Parts: sequence; C-alpha cells; structure tokens
Amino acid sequence: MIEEHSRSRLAFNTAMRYAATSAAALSFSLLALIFVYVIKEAVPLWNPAKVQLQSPTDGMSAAEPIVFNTTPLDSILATRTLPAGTNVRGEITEAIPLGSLLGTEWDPSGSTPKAGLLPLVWGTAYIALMALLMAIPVGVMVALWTTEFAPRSLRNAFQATFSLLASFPSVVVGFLCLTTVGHLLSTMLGNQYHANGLTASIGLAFAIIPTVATLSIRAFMAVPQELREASIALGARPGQTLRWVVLPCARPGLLAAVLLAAGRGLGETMIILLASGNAPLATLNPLAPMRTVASTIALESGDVLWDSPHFHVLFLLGLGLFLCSTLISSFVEVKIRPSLARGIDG
Amino acid sequence: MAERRHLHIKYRSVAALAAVCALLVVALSAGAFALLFWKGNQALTAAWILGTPQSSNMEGGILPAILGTVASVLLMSACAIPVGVLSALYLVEYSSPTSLFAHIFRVSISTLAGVPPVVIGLFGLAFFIRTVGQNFDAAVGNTSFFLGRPSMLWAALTLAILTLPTVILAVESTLRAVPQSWRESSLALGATQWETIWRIVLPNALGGISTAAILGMARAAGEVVPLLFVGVIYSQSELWNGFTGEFMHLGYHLYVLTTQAPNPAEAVPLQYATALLLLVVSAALNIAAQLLNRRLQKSIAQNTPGV
Repeated sequence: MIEEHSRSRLAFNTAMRYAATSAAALSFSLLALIFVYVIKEAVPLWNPAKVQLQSPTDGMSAAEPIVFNTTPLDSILATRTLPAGTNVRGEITEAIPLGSLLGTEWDPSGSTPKAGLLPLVWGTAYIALMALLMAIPVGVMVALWTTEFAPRSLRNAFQATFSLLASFPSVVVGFLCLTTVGHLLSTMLGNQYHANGLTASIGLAFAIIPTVATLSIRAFMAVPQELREASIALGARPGQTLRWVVLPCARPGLLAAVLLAAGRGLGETMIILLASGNAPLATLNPLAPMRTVASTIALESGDVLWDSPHFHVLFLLGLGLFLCSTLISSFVEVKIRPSLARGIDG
Repeated sequence: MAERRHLHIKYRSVAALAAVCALLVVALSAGAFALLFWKGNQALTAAWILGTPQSSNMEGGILPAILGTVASVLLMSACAIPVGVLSALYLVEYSSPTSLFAHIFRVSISTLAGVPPVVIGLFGLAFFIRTVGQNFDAAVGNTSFFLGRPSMLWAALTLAILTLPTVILAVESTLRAVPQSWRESSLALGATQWETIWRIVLPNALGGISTAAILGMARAAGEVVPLLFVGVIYSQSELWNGFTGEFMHLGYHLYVLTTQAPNPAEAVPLQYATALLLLVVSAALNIAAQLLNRRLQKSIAQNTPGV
C-alpha cells in the first residue's frame, strides 16, 4: 500500500519534471516556428508558379467591420479555379519582378508592381539612428545619475517613475508625439508635414530611453563596490574613479544596452506608423515623411490580398526584421552576457 | 592644483548634466500624463465609457473596446502564466547550471523577447489562422469560417507569445530568491522534488509570480501591433463577439481615431480620452505590480531567517 502510494508520488514527480522541461522547450520551438512560418509565407515570392489566390480578401482587413460567418467556404474554394494571376475580386495581380526588390520604388500593389526595399531600409536605418543618437546619451546619463549621483532617498522614487515610463503604450507615445512634437516642429521650422522622420525619431527615442537606462543602470550596479573603494583608497578623485574604474567595468553592459535598444528601434512600429508620415522616400532630409520596414507591414497588411505577391513580400520584410533582431539578441546573449557574468576580465 | 580643480569641475559638470537628463525624462513623462488628463477628461463621460460606438465611432461609447482589451489580456494571461511559471521552474529547479539545453533555452527566451511585435503578429496570422485554424475548419468540414479567421482566441495566443519571455524572466528571479536551504530541508525530510516545489518554493514565490503576471498584463495591454492581423476591428455594434469573433481594442481605437477619423477636428477630444483610458489601464497595472513587489521585498526581509 505504502509502496504504491510512493510510486505514484514518484511518477507525478517525473511527470512534472517533463512538463517543466517541455514548457521551457516551448520558447525554443516558438522561435523555430516563427522562423519556419515566416519563411514559408515569403518563399512563394520566388516561386510565382505556385501563387494561388484562395483566401477571403477581407480576412486581414482590420479596418472594416465585416461579418465573416456569412462567407460560405464553398464560394471561397470556388475561387481556386480562377485563372492564375487573378484574385476573388477578379482583379489582376501581377507577380512582382524580383529585380525590383533592389530598386527605389515601393508600389507592390500597382498595375506594374514594384517592391523596391531601398526606401524602407533607408527609412528604418535613418529613423533608428537618429533616435539612438538622442536616446543613448540621455539614457546612459540618466542611469549614471541614478546609480552614482542621486541621493538615496530619491533613487527608489526615480526608478519607480522610470518603470512607469517604460510602460507607456507605444500607441499613446506615437499619438502624443504626433500632436505635440510634430506640431511644435512645424511651427518652429516651418516644415510642411507634422508627421516626418524627425518627429518619429523623437517619439522613438522617448520609447527606447527606458530600455537604455534600465539596462545601463544594471550595468553600473554590477560594478563591484570594492573596486570603487579600492580606487578611492588609492587616492583617486570621484571623477577619476568614474572614468577609469566604473566606466571600463560597465562597458560590456553598456554595449548590451545599446545593441538591445537598437533592436527595439528597428522593430518599433506604432510610434513610427503614427508619426513618420509613411511615405516611402529615400531622402536625407529629416523633415521629409519616411517609412520603415515594420510600419510597412502594419500599414499594408490591412488590405492586402491573402496569397498575392504583395502578401508574400510583406512576409519577406518580416523575415528581414526577424533575422536582424535574432542576430542582435543572440549576439548579446552569447558574446556579451558571459563577460557580464564573469565580471571584469581586464 | 589647477589640474585637480579642473578635474573637479569636469566631475561636477558631468553630475549636473546627468541630473538635467534625469529631470528631463521625469518632466517629460509627467508632462505627458498632465496633458492627457487635461485634454482627455472633457470627453471622458460615463455615457461614453458605457456605450457602444455609433456613426463611425464619433458618437456613442467605447465599452466594447474596453471589454476587448481586458478580455484579450485575461485570456493571454491564462495561456502565458502557467507556461511561463513552468519554464522558469525548469530553469531554476530542474536544469543544472552547466546543461547545454538550459543554455539553449535561456538564449531562445532572450531572443524571443527581442522579436519585434509586428513579426509575432505575422506569425500569428501565418500559423494560428492560416495553418491551425484553416486546417481545423477543413478537417471538421465547416461550411463557414470558424477558426480559420481572425479572432479573440488567436489574438490572445499571439499576445501570449509576446509576453511569455517577460513572464519567464520575472518569475525566474523570484524563484531564485527562495533560500536554497529551505529546499534542502524539505528534500531531507523525504519530500519529492515536486512536493518541495509545490509546498515550499511556489507558496513563497507566489507574490513575485503575481508581480510577474501583472507586469506581463501591463505589457500586453499596451500592445496593438501584433493584434492588427489577428482579430482587432475598427468598430462593432455588439458588446461581445465571442472568443471566435473579432473584437475592438482601446489602442487600435486610438490609432484609427488618429489616422482615419472622418472628421479630424471632432475626433480630437475622443483621441485624448481614449489615450488617457489606455494609459490609466496600463499604468494602474504597472503601479499595482510595483506596490506588490515592494511589500513583498519588505516581508521577505522580515521573515527570512539567517540563511
């Protein structure tokens, strides 16, 4: 009797161990699944023979209140028999010539579709770079103040404010940025558009300052107190300790903060969707409307036809973003994190 | 001497600059709050909060959007929190620090945390709707779309992927805070590892797990982008379309009011009111998590015997 009881206890113990292991494995599987499914939807772009339009065109339309229950599957399946290159609305959807991917014109649903990625990549890099140039100095300075200069009584209150700031929904940040910063810039500089590259990058900077600051605070806190004390005991002034002891020790952590913030900047969508003006222009003028890779996906997937070349090219954009973010995160995790854990190594 | 003076001035100016930056950030966020409260409270009436939208959302209310936001977040938590806690249990209780699997899992959790929401939305569309849902419909022989279309269910699952890493990392750090000696005592008394986890580790980590859950919910409540492709709609006349129906969301409502309102000038008070409501929901969740966390740390500090 007792033996049976303990056997079931042990069996339950083993079962829970497997459950926990498989839950942990889920993160890895999800990552692999995202990779596989985004590729799967992007590949037909290379293989236009297989392009078949079969799905309800309204399936992705978030902007129109359409009742789906009334669409019988038969009528959808019937569309499979439409001649290749037409969709359920009977419109002709041309394949996108792959040569146009390297061009400067983004018009994937036009009569002669072109999917030049250049303006999107340019807009993404330009807006992210401007935002990082603003966010990194401010974020690191804020972290420096919180860990090195702030009075102890203020420190907690400040960190609380800070995590509250990090929880600002990005749609709210984008909205406020468009209505205040966009307005302010156009009255100050007399530019034509409220929504432009600079407005978007200011909004983006506001959104990634918490990321930079939180990670930098962690980097500064990880510097062992003994090192500071040793430096001061040797007669170094606080400024010298900061410059020659604290900063070098915190460097890998700061690098991680910058990289992760860059990843966040590349992928941020809502702020840019609202504040950048969304015109696919490759221009040096920061006050011109621009468009990024992420905002293009969000903007156009609303009325794209499922299984059209346009649909697949949006997944291609998604694949690019996924690869960039994965590269950045795994670089931080594999190359930088171990040196953080070890502490200082010269 | 002059050099020391120079150094001192440099140090002071760095300190001043840092203080200015910190002040700037706090002032900006306080300013944003103040602006939203000031401009948002005109349109924020009980009739608006409790009504359903009419005439392209310019009249009526936004109760369906509030319900949709809350329901998607709750459904998301029901999926993400158990899985998140189990994953964290694996990392803390079951895996050895040198295990290759644990290392791979840890890297994938951090990588998953960095995947842009828009890509997760695309995945939700490609996997949940176009693969799982449509195949289910085909297998069951549904004549109408049941699961193979955007819906609350798929939206919640997509959000769950987004918040899973946040939850895992937060729960992991609370589990690590439970003293190792408590586990050892329990095991020495003959409890199995699961009994130790169930009776000793989890009860002591419960507060931290709630904090992690609330943080995940705050993150999910503010996310709109992944929902764009998997179930959010602009307007609905019913309060609730069911779990397999589409839904309104406060964040998407704000986006649509800002970009596609038929009458932009009239929409301004509604925009501010919606933004205020969304901010209040996510800020309230965040403050609740922080308060809980602070109380918890105090009680841990009081109750932990000398370890």
